[in-house]
Amino acid sequence: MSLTRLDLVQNEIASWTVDQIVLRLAVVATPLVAISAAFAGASSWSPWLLLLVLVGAVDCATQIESNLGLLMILLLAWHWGVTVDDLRTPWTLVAALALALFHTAMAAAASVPSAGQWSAAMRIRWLRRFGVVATLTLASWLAQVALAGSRLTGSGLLLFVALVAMTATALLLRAGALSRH
Amino acid sequence: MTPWRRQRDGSLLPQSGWQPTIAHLRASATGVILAIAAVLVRRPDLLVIATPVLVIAVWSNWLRPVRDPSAADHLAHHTVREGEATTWRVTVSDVRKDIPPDGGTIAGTIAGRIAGTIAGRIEGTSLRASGAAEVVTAILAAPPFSTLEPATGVVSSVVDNGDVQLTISVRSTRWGRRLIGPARVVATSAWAAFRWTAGSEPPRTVTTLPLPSVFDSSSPAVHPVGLVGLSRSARPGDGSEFASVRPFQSGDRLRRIHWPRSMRTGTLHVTSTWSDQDSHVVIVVDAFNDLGESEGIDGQASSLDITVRAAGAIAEHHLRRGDRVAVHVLGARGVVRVPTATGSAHLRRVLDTLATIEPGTDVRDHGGLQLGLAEGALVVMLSPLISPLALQRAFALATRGLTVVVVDTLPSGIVEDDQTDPFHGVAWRIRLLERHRELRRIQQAGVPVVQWRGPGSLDQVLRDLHRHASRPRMARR
Repeated sequence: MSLTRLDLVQNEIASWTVDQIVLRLAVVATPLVAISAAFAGASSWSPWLLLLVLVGAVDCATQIESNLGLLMILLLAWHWGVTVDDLRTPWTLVAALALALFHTAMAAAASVPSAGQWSAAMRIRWLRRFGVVATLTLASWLAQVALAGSRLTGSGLLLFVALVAMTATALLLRAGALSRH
Repeated sequence: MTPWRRQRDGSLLPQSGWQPTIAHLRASATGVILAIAAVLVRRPDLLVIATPVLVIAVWSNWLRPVRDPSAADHLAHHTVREGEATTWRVTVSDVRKDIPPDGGTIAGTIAGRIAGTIAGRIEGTSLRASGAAEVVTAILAAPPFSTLEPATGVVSSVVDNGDVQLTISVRSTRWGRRLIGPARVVATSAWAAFRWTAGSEPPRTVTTLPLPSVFDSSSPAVHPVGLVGLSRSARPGDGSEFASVRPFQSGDRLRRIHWPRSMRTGTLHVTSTWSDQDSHVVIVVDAFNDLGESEGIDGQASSLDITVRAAGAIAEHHLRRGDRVAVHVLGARGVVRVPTATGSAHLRRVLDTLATIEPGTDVRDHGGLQLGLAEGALVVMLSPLISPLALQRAFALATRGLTVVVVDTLPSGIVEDDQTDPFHGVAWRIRLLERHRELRRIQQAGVPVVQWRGPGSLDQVLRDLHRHASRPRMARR
């Protein structure tokens, strides 16, 4: 059974175009960049976690339509949260952009069959959009760095408003994503 | 037509076949989870990490298409020759410019246009009332004996101005009738967040006509008995082939007068010609089996490839000479015969019939062939001469007094040893020895057998038959 799957994977890889190869390499590389940023931010590293991320990234690259990508992002974010304490470290921006690129590469690779050719217009459109997202991420990081130095006191009202906003966003996404039939 | 759905507030929205993708689920779930976690544990850096995926999720949702595109595919040509290509084309019409029919609320339309304006500016494209199909991909599997361009059968294009056309070239490399499709047409929205798949269209049928081999024959017709045609008859008459210069007789046309001879001799002489007549040619195709590997027009030919292309070539040659041609197919269900006729339209009919042959679909022995032939017809049987039925039919026709020529279309190299089956070569050699004995017997019975070699294959045997045509023949009736 595993041999059959291996054959399928080999056939799949053989049909990849140059664009797909670049995207799959990005899918493999970006989680490694994100975990490396976390290691750099925490000044410590774990080879087992690095290996786990590598295996997961390779699996994501070969099975682009799997839900493993979601788990990978959550794993990397969780690891960041529990190991990195410095809120002003620039590695935050590196990790955020790496995860954004990871998601974008997986989405782009799934948008066209592995044997399909990408046109210049498609490349430009995806790059332009990623540029917008990267700019917004940079802006949010700058805002976070600025706020981290301002010694804001905790506010129950602010927390409540933030939670309401997050819940509203979640409901909005859920309502929009489900079928409208 | 786009079906419409009434919302709770009474406004109408078209129903959509767009479905969220794994990518959208990933962006939405991770974005919301990380943002809530960032707020709960008071970690703004987690909010920075969540920002890009959250932005992508909201952006994707904002540009979610609300109406289904429409897709229609068609083939440029339904009939091609071997080696020729046709194009399969799908047109996907984006309906972003649609507005709701009567019943849509004005407020909803205005709100949609404002949102669309903002979205359009961010996208850097034209204003849009909602998101729409952004990339359309068509996937077409290659039918047997066909090559596609692009070779993968996958084409993608960005939807820019409403409609997009995707084209895949399909080159047919072997005669026959085969289905193209069904193709899969998929559209994705911005950020590949939503996907729409077109309903499967029924596959299209393409008929590939055999490309007749190169064939020519300079031999005279064996029994020219018809009234038209280019074959020279044994009788003088009004034709194009010179016979002699003879003294003028009553009834001769004035334009036939040979003036130089008349001036020299002092009496009128005319140029006489042989009359042109046509012959009746019946092509019998043995489709009991297809031996050897067929690689299409560009590669190795199977026995049926040789048979069908040779039949097309012989039919084309005789029809161009004005002869009457009929085709009978043995061993194929559905296709039995093409009645006798002449002309270029008949050639197309013959090729159409040859293209529909499916070998070995009717191996029953129907007894003797009921060809309904008149005396003087030339029967050309094309066969690899492996099935004894074909030889029996040829022998039966010959014993009825008909002129029969058997053309051997067995491809060379068929007895090569098979590495996986050591008895394959031995079995073939035994069968070929038996075949050799059968051929010797049928030749002794007066049926000539010639190997198909293209131009001139039939010259010698037809010349011999023409020479012996006037001899008395023994026939069993």
